[in-house]
Amino acid sequence: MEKKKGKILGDHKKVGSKFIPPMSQLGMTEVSYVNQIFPEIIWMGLLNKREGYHTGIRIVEFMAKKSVEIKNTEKFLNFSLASSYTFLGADQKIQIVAELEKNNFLQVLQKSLAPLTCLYEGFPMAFLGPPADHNSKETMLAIIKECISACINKYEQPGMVMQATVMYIRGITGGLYFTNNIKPPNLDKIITDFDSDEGKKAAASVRAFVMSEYMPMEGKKSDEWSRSFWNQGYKIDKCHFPWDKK
Amino acid sequence: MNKKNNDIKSVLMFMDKYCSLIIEGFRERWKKWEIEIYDSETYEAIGGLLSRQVTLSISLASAPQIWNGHIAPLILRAMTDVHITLAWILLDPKERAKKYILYGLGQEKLYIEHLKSEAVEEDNRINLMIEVRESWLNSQRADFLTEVNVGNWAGLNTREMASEADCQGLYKFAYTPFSGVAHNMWQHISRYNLVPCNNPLHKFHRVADILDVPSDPDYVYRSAKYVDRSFEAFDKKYNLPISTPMPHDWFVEEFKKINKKPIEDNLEVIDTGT
Repeated sequence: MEKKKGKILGDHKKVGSKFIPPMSQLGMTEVSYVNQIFPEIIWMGLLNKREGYHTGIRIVEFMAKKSVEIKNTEKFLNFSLASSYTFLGADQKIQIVAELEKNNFLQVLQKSLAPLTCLYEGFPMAFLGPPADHNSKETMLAIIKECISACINKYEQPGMVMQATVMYIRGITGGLYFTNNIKPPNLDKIITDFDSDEGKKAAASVRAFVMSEYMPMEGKKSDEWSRSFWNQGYKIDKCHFPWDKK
Repeated sequence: MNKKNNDIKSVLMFMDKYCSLIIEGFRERWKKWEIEIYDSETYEAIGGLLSRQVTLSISLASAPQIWNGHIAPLILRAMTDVHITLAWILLDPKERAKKYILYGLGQEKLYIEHLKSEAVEEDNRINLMIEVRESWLNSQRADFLTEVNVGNWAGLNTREMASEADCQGLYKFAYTPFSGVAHNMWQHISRYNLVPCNNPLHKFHRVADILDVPSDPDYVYRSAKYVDRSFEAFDKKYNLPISTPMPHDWFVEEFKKINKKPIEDNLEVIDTGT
């Protein structure tokens, strides 16, 4: 029976009393999937939950393409991230709503996003409006809770599909480049063959991409919506303290 | 014999009430605290330390067999440490709670690395333990980005932390003497593990022995003071309207009812106000 290895933390650099891991030596900082990214993409989770992955992604694609067409900034915006819609003016938002209505996507979005539109203040996509038919607060709470539970693990399929859509939208609206020697990940496999080697490989690329999408080279991403989403969550539905159950 | 039994019974009943009181005080604070989930780590660290303080006091109060100089100081040392840590974090909760957590995650990573280094390939039990611990670590921060700090977590030693957090008295008169017990130093060992030999021919040397030492509820009284101090620091920082009585005042008032002598008269050593 042999022991595994020799020196521990051998690839770390010692600075004072700290051992710095190689990734941190490269200046890589951590972006939190749960804290920062998740509130930006959970709207797609709601859409996917209601409409299924293919229809959900088709609607996101339509909306993102239209938004890119009419945005009046040179800056690249990934419209799979909810906060990107804060960069659209009132007229542009009216235009988007009209386009969605014309293509029969508006109602679907309104119904799917109702928990975010109706329960949360400051949801960047609230301009899409609430659904015509009313759902009780309890129903909407149940829907969003179920969706968060299903999507919060970034390694499982519902969470992975949302993340893959971020990469897909970047790909079709510009700004995603691969060198000749790098094969782009097969995003379809994340839906059709999630547990396959190709699916796992694609998932790993997507997770790394989404981190970098949230960590731009210049400027700082605003976490206003992410902060607001989580802080409001604590107020929308009360915390059940363990001792209250006894 | 009956009177003694009744006395013990009333002390134990008193301790039960004390435990309920500090649990209530802790839960009231947590319920009334306005929590911002985005920065959940801050609340988890502070709330966790406050819970730890209460848990230690409950554990001591519920175990009369350890109200003695052998064991109780170990609990009290941990409680003074909790208070200094908490008071120091409360001076800058967001930054310091983060530092506290990252240090803990680094320590976990170091432990996992040691396990990996020592484990033999075929040992499934160790491999499973490594897997579970890695999963716990990665659920909070990717291990490949986790730094390992082998120095002080706060960048200061406990004395410096106590000084910044205005706990110098606690550090000097409680943390330091209790540390002697925790680290099994001479000033403790010579009193609690050795007895003098009375034979002049033997230079009055000390003989190692297993000593029976008296049980004293004063140790619980001290722990109530530390819970009190931690509650007070928390209340001062967050300005919460708390209706549950503070542990120290409650302890003194209620103990008078079952004990003719005031609690201070039961002290083995001079109370320094710590």
